[in-house]
Amino acid sequence: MIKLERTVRDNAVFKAFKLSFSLKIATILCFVAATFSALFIGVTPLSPSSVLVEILNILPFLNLNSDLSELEATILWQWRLPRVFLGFFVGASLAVAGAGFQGIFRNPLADPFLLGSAAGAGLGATFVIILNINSWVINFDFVPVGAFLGALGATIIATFIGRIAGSAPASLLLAGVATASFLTACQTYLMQRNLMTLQEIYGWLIGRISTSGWSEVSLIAPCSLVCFFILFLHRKELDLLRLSEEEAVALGGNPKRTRRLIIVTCALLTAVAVSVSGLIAFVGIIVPHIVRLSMGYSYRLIIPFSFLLGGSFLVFTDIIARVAIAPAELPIGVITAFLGAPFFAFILILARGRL
Amino acid sequence: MNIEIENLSLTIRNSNILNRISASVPYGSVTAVLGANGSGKSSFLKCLAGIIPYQGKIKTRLDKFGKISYVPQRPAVPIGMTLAEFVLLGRFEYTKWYLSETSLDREKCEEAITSLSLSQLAGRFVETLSGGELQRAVLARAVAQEATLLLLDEPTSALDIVNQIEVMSYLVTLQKRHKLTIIIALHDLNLALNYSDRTLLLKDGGMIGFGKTRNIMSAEKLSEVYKSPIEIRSQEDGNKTIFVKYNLS
Repeated sequence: MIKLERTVRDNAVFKAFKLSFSLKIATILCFVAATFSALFIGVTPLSPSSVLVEILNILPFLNLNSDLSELEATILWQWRLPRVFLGFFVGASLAVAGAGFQGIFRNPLADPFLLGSAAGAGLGATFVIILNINSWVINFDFVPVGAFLGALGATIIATFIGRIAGSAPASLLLAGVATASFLTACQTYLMQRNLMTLQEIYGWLIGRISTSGWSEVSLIAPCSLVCFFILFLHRKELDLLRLSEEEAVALGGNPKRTRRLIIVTCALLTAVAVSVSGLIAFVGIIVPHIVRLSMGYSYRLIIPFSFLLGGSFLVFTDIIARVAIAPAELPIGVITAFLGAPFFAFILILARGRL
Repeated sequence: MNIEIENLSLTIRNSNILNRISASVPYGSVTAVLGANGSGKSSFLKCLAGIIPYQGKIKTRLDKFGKISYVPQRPAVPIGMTLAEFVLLGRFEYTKWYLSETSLDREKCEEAITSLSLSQLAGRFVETLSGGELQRAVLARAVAQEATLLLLDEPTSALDIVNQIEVMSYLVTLQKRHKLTIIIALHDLNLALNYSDRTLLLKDGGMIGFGKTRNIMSAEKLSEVYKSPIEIRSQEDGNKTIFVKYNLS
């Protein structure tokens, strides 16, 4: 009986599309280690045990003394915790959007900024900064709004051109390249004509995870979770898209509908992520590949684990951004590429061309 | 009960790909579709599969009898997908859109893999399979799909002669076991002669003939279809062999 059960469990058919227990545990450990350490590591170090007790205190019927001073508690609740959440959702959104685009375009080079959303967001933010729109209304930052609208606008333009050019995914991809080039040219021109604002624009473009309070988190979290859920529900369709279009249709899929839905979802994820964090490069391309090469090529694994690992990766890199040259901060985009690129190269060499 | 094809036509960018094809294909038969390159064999199968829009009528009555499985000329070979996962995709239509495959789906998939003698290869990545093994994997996926009408577009064209015969033998076995209706585009006239019950001949998108293979595959008709002299010889045991005479001069 035991032998029979083991045979069933070890059978390739019953193991299909499933991840081993040890890799599941390793991913969860990565997530817990990155998020928890981000709470107590920083310019003002906090005691890990006190942080743990302070967080456990939110549970009902628990009334523990965390030993954190009022200032430390404020740092934890109004500074560190929102920043961890923000970093997690930005990383998770970019990674999942990258995975989605790689799935529908069947292209390992696809990333969240493929359809011109980075260039659009950059142009939107540049407009807001150059026109000094923030001075029009007190206490409201229009840069995220400009970036969000710019990212969405660019994607809509690219999709429109792509649809006119033809139904093949390559048409859309090239339309994205054309749109991005045009919008980048516009942005460069605007920057050239307004050198006084260059530093502010550049600071935004390079990407950062900074927040005071929960406003950005409340903006990105619902959108990120809903979009992730939509992509997760379409994980099987994404696997079907790994076959040819004709085979996907013959097996009962609807590639056109799936592609449209995933483009909208990923464009939304990217737009909301860049609006709160600027352009953080590399997360959206390397995290899905790391998941693919270490866990498996099925989107049933890539979607949920890109979300978890993308978020954890950005939270981890944000720790380095905060402490590397403390009290100043390093731009997080620099660290994601600086750490991510060699790690990705290492994974790539291990995989020996299986991409 | 037959699959009724009435005046099937296909026009793409003002070019007639298929021109008023009518045939009545009996359920449970193997029908070979023969024709030179560009004669419309693949388009004919895609119309039957419902992948491309067409003019005319195709009455498959499959709402009663089951599903259609279509295997393209060159099936995609996704990197990093095990044979088991590849076959399990055949169960896509049976699973709820928000759920993963059930253990029943996995059992059906295992049965399909076993029926094509692929159990030992179930954990192998499909990109590492040989041409013959890959074709068997595609057939296993169609079996897992529980299709009753199998449309195959030149499944043997990339295989050596041993693998061609092996794949065709598996097809005939599956056809008998699962009472499948198979419509298969072929280039090898001898395979068509030996393994099909019926043959449909296509030339430049038009139908030259349709009927029982032994009757329809005459030297004259085949010579017309391929625009090249073709000869049929009978062997001592009564089996026929087709020879194509090449005009090398």
